[in-house]
Amino acid sequence: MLLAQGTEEQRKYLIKDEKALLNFINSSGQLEGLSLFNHSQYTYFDLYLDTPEFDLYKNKLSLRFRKRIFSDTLVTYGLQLKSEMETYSSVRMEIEEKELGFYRVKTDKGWIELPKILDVIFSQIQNNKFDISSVEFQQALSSIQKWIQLNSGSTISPFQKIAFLKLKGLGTEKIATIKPMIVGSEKRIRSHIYIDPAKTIIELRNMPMNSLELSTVPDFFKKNNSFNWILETSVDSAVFYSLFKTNKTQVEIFEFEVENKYFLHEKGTEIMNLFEKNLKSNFQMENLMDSKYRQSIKKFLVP
Amino acid sequence: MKTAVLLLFLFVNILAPYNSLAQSEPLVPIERGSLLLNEHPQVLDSFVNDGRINLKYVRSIGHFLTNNDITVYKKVAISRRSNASIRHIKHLIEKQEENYQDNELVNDATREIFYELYLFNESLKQKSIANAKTKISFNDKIKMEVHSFKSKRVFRYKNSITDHEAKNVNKNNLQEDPKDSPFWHKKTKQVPLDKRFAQLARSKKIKSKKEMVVLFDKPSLSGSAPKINVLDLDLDNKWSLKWGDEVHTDVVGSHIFAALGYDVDHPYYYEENKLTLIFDELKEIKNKEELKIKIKEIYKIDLDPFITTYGTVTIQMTQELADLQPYVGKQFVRFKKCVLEARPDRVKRMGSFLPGLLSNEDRRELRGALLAHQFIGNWDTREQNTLLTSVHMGNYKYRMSAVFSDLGASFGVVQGIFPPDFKVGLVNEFSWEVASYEGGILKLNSSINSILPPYKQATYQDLLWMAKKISELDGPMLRNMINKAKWPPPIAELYFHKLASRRASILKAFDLTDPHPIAFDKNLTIKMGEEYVVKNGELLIDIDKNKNPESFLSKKGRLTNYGH
Repeated sequence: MLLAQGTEEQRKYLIKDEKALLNFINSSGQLEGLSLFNHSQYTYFDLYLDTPEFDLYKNKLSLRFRKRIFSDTLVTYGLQLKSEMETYSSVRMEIEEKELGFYRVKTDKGWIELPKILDVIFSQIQNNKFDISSVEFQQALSSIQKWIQLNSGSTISPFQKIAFLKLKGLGTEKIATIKPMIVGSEKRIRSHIYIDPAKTIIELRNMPMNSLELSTVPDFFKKNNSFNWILETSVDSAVFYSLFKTNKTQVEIFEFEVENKYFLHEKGTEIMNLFEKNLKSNFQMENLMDSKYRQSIKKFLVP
Repeated sequence: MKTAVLLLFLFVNILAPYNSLAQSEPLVPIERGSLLLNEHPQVLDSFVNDGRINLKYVRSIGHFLTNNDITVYKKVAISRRSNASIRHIKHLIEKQEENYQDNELVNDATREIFYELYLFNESLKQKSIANAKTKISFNDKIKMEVHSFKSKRVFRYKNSITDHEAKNVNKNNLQEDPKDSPFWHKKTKQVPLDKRFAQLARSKKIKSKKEMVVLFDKPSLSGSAPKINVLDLDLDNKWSLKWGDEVHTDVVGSHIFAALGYDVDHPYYYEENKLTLIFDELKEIKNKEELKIKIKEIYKIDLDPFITTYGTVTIQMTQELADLQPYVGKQFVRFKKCVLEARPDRVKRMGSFLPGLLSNEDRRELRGALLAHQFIGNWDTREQNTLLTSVHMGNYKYRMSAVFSDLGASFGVVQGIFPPDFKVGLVNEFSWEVASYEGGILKLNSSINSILPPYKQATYQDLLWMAKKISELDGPMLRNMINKAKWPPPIAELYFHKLASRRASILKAFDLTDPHPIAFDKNLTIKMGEEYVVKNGELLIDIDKNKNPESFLSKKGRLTNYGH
């Protein structure tokens, strides 16, 4: 089976023994013939969007602006639409508008690039000066809402997808009401899971080498071309703040994610199963299905 | 004397640098130019609503061109939209969104985008429909024959000013150049005409080397000449690897069209063992034997006569060619001759550039192209050999460009009927003259298989305009461009004389003074040792038959396995 464009196979776990897991990651340990290499830490800033009636949430979707900072240097912005997992091991739809740099928002001060508006919001979180009531924060939220209102019918992939899906309560006019709902940041500790032929078990040693577009192959595997890249993992610790009226002002999430990167997808799924078995026995992990957005909204909406 | 010419030719040929526009020379950027015509085509009215942008219509075109969930057009599958071309369209749409929000009146800048969106939209539709046809239909074959027959008789012109000139051209300068546009560019002082091919290649980041190593990607199912799709070692850029009778002609045809101001494909000729094809055990075809079987299955051509060596890449081979180092132990094959045509990552190919739509038939640069086809004797002028492309110029800036593609069915073409066959690059079939002026009528004599609207409507003045462009090609330029094809020297020399003669016939027919007279000899004679290779302007010997399995004399072509 090949994964269709715009999908990913991902699993999520609730971390119970945080210390043991972080020790394992920091020591770039081994599990049943699979090696782990902890390669970087990313910082993400997310602004989740929904209609005032939470129609995306109700339709098991999440939509977010994401700013990514890779190793404190490279910065990218995207608008991502994702579906929720239906089972613990199902494939998620992921549609991204990757380049936001050429989108601009018309403001009283003229046309301003969308990422600059997003940065007004994200910088408050980054600098621990989060003040939802500040004028600049409110102006930025309002500009983004206006941009969505005017552009939701345009050629922006996540909006195209929502319209194409023809979901209950999400007609064209409703899509235009989508607005910022929660904002937050997360730290991700990223690791590659791979097969080192010198340190693996016989069943894994002869798996064909992963075959991917060179541009998507991490440097680690370009330098160590005998290592076979199978999975990608991340330990995520996130905090989200509500932008709508709720009793709870913030939600914290700590979870572990695993993503299939192997070109023979079914074989990759088998390795995911093997890895999961070991995670559960060694670190007492439990499967999770809900996205961070869904987890947050569930907690924010608790009366 | 003739031997001296031959030696000179060999010297120039061997010493000619491979990439003629040195990488160290500054790159002269190519701008998109303007698509606007004097009179805007009516079909563009849909983009306008009460003098302002009709955003609903603009968006509907934008969705068709960018939304991968729209998968069918007129019951055929829509061709894959590349991410880069989607980005290009989104940039155009976003400009329109902003203009709409600014409530701007439609102006030339917005109209430029209307033209571009319309062309991309129709081109994607054309490509999707063309892709749904796997074979040339019987009707298409008949049409090609009819056009071939007709084209020998219809290209007759009186030296007069037509309604078209009266409407579209400056009356004080009837051969005025069109504006630079995605279809054609004026010459510049910085780039000599024969270097324009290299300039175009550099602008597309095409990097050909003297010796190439490429990786097998997948078989190709299009066209009639045997070819496969291969990957550059950078894995981002692709190439089309071709064999057969177009390997020389395509190279020269593309260089000449580029010199005349058009954008083209970028084919590069590779001599014996200068290209190594590496197989990957994970791909559909894993070695030379499987490649041979596949080519036979698709094209009915035996690849064996074109192969020199094959086997497993050894450490010794990597000492001679460092590029092979990561592939020790992999299967490889090398060839007697082949052509590698660039499919750079920077260029995304849509469908045809639509010569008969959006009043493109009114464009002088497309009408004049008829004479350029006649000059190189290109027979296959069908719409599908025109191409609309999106060129990424870096920093997410894009430029639309119209390409004259597949110019290899030229330089002496014959068709067989019983059995059906087709062969190009037969120097003895390439006539010495292509134009004449008799009894007040200008005549062109090279047949083409598709009289596209711009060619049908071309006027004397349009062709005179192109004749002046052809007159700007001087002897050294012509020789440099012929050198790129690496024909055996006597054949290259004969082609040089024939092209010079055809050029002279064009200038004479239009009564133009030749700014760069090129000497030619219709009785050219070349001896190799005691043997006449070329005598009285005719090739007598099939030079190096073993090294040139397609043959320069035999009329057996690709549909009869080149007589093997």
